[in-house]
Amino acid sequence: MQFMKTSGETGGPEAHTHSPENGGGVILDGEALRALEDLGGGDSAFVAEIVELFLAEAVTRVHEMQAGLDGPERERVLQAAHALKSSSAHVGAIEFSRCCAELEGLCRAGDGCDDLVPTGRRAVAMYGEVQAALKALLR
Amino acid sequence: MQKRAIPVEFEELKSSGTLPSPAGVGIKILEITRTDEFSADDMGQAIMSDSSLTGRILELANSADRAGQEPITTVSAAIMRLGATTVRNLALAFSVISERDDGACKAFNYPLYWSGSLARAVAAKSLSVHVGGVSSEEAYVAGLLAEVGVLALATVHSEPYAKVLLETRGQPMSAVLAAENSAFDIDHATICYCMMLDWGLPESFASAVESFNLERLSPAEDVTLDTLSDLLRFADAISSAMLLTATTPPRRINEVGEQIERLQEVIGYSDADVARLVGQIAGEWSRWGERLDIATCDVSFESIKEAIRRGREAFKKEVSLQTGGGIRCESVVADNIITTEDVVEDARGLGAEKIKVLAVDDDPVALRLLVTVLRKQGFDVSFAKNGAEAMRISMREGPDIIVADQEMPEMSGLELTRALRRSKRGASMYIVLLTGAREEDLLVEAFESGVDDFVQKPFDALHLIARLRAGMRIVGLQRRIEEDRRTILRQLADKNNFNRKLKMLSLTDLLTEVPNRRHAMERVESEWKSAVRSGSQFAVLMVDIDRFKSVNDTYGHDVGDVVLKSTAQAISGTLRGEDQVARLGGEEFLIIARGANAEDARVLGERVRLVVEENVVEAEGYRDSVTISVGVASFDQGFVGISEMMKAADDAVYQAKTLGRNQVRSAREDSRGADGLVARRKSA
Repeated sequence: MQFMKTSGETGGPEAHTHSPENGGGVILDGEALRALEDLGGGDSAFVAEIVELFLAEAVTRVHEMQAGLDGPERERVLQAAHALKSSSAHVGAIEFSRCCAELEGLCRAGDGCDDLVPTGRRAVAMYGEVQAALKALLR
Repeated sequence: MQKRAIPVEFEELKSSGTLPSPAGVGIKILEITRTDEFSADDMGQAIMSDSSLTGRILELANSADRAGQEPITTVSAAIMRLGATTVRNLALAFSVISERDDGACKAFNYPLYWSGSLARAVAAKSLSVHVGGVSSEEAYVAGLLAEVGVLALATVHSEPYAKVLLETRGQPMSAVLAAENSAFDIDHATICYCMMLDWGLPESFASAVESFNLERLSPAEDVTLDTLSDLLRFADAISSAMLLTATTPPRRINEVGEQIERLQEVIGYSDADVARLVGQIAGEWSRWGERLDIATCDVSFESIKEAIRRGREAFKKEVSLQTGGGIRCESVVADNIITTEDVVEDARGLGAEKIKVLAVDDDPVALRLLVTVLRKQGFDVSFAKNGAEAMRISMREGPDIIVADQEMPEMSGLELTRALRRSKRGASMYIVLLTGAREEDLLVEAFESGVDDFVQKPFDALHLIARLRAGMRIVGLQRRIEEDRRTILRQLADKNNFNRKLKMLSLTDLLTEVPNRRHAMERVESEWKSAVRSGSQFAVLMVDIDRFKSVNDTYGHDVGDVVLKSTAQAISGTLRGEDQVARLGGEEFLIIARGANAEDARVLGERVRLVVEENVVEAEGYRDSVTISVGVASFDQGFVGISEMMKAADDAVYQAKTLGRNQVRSAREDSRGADGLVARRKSA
C-alpha cells in the first residue's frame, strides 16, 4: 500500500517528463503516482481528485512565493515553500518538492531575500512544468 | 432557613467519585471559598490563572442588561460589582461546564442537555431584569445548573439510568422522579439540592432549584415571578420552547405553550414584546454557545408559536383518542441542529465501538490522503483544517487518536497537543504528530508536551499504520481500564444499594411491611435522648389486637395474616407524618408519637382504636372487624428510663384487656378508667 517513495529513486522506469529546469531530472515520479492509485483502490478518479486538489492549492501558494520574492518578504516565501514541499511530494513531484525544501532551508538559515532569488525562481519555473505534467495526466 | 440533613444516598453517589464537579481552577476556588470569610483576592488570583474563565466572567459582568455601567476589565472589578459570592458561583458553574464529558448513558442526550441548560440560563438572566429579588448572574447560574441532578444520575448510574429514561420516555417529570426514587432511592431534585450545598451555594438557592425540579409547572394562582423558582420555571418554559424536537411529546408542548401564555400575563407582554425577548435570548444563547462550544440554533418566536400550535393540535388528538403519547407531531424548532440520532431509542449495551481518529492538516492534499488511509483502516475518521477547529472537534467528539500536522499557521500541532493535554478529555487521547525532516530537533520538546509519537512527512501509509497500531493498542487498554472502572463503580453502587435494602429489610416487618421491633426500639431510644436533651415530648402506645388467637384458630393463619396486615395499614393511615407504627411481634404493635404528652397520646389512641374498630377486614371466608386494646405511656409521666416506660405501656394494655378490651388505658391511671384521669388532671 505504499504510495510514496521519498528516497532518491527519481528516474524510475515510468518516470514521466524530464525537466529542463532541473538539468533533465524527473518531473513526476511514476512509482509515487502508482502508489497513489493503489491507495485509491485502483480508482483513477481518486488520483484525479488528489491532483486537482493539489493544483488548486498550489497555484495560490506559488503566487505567494512569487509575491514573497518580489516583496521581498522572507516569511511569505518560507510559508509557501513549506506548504508546497509537502503537498507536491504527495503527487509525485519529487524534484519540485526538493527544490521547495531547499528554498525553505535557505529561508530559515538567513535573513533578507537576495539569497533566495535564484532557488525561488527555479521553484516557480519548475512549478510550471509540474502543473503542465499533472494537467497532461488528468487528460 | 435550616439546612436539611444530606441523605446517605447522596453520600453514596458522591463516593462514586464521578459526580459532575468543578475541576482545575474550580477545585481551587472551592478550597479557597470553603468558609464564609474567604479572601476575595485569593479567589480573584485563582480565577485569573485561567484566561478563558476570566473572559467568561468579564463577559457576563459586562453583558447588555448592565448597559450604562462602565465596562469592567478585571476580575477584581467584577468582584467589586457583582460581589465575591456571585463571582465565585459563576466561576464554579463555568468550571463544571468546561469539564463536561459526553458520558456513557446511552439514553441521555448530552448535547441537548447542555444546550437546554445554556438556553435556560440565558432566559433566566433576561427574565431577571423584570424581577426585583433575583440578580441576573444568580439567575444565570441557577439556570445553568438547574438540572445538574439529572446529569449526575446519567453519569454515575449510566446504564440503569438509561433504563429509567427509556421507561419514562414521553411521560411527565413526576413519573421520572418517581422512577428515579424507586431505582436509586433518591431523585434528581434531591441530588441537585445536595450538590449545590456541597459546592457551597446558599441554602435558599439550592431550595429554589429543588422546588423547580419537583414541580416544573407554576401553580395556577399566585405566580409573581419574584422568586427564583418561579423565574426558573418560566425560563425553563422558554428554553424548552426553543428546543422543541420531533421527540418532544405533545403533552409537554402543550404545557410549554400554557407556561408561555402565563408568562405573558404575569409580565404583561404582548406577542411583539415576547418576540423581542425571545430574539434577545436567542442571540445571547448563540453567542454563549459559541463561547462555551455548546450547540445552539436559530429560533424565532414565530417558529416557536407555529411549533406549539401544531403540538397542541396533536395533544388534543391524543387526549380525545386517549392514545397516551402515541402521536408524534411535527413541531420542530431545533431538530436541525441538535442531533437526536445518537441517543438510543432502546436499551443496548456498550458494543465494540470503532476507534475514532481525528486527522488535522492545513494542506488539503495531505489531509485528503490522510483521511483516505485512515478510513481504509476502518477507523471512524473526522478531520480538521487547523488547530482551532481540531480543538473544537476534539472537545465535541472525543477522538481516541489524533494525527496532526506540526507545521500549521496560528496553532501548530505542538500547541494543539499542549491545549488538549490541559483538558480532561484530551489528556487520554493518543496524539501522533506529522513532522517535516527538519523538525526532528522538536522531539524532546514535543514528547515533553505530551505527543505520543511522530511520523515524518510526506508520510508513508504503511509506516503511518504501523505507528497507529501502537496507538490502537493503547486505546484498547484505556477502554478496558475505563470499562473496568465503570464495572467497579457500578458494583459499588449496586453494593451500596444492596446494603441499603438489606438494612431496610432488617428493620422492616416482612408481613405487614411496617418497621419491626428493632427499628421501633431504635426510634424510641432516639426520641428518649432528644426528649432528655431538649425537653421535647413523646409517647408510646402499645397496641394489641383483641382475641386474635381465636381468629387464627377459627379461620387459619392465612386469614390471621390478612388481619395483621390490614390492621397495620389502618393504624398507619391514621398517623401524622412524624408518628410511626411498628410491629413488635405476634399481634402486638407500637405507635411512637412525637411531641405528644399523655393527653395527646390518649386522644391519638382513641382515634386509632375507633379506626381499627371500623376497619372491615376481608379475607377468604372472613368479613369482620377486630378491636384493639391500647396502653399509653408518655415521657411527661416522669419515667426514669425507656424500659420503665415500655413496661408501663405494656401494663396499661393488660389493664385495658382486663377491663373488657377495645379501650385505651394510660399508664399511672387508676382503675377508675379514663374519666378518673381527666378528673385527676382537673383537680391538679
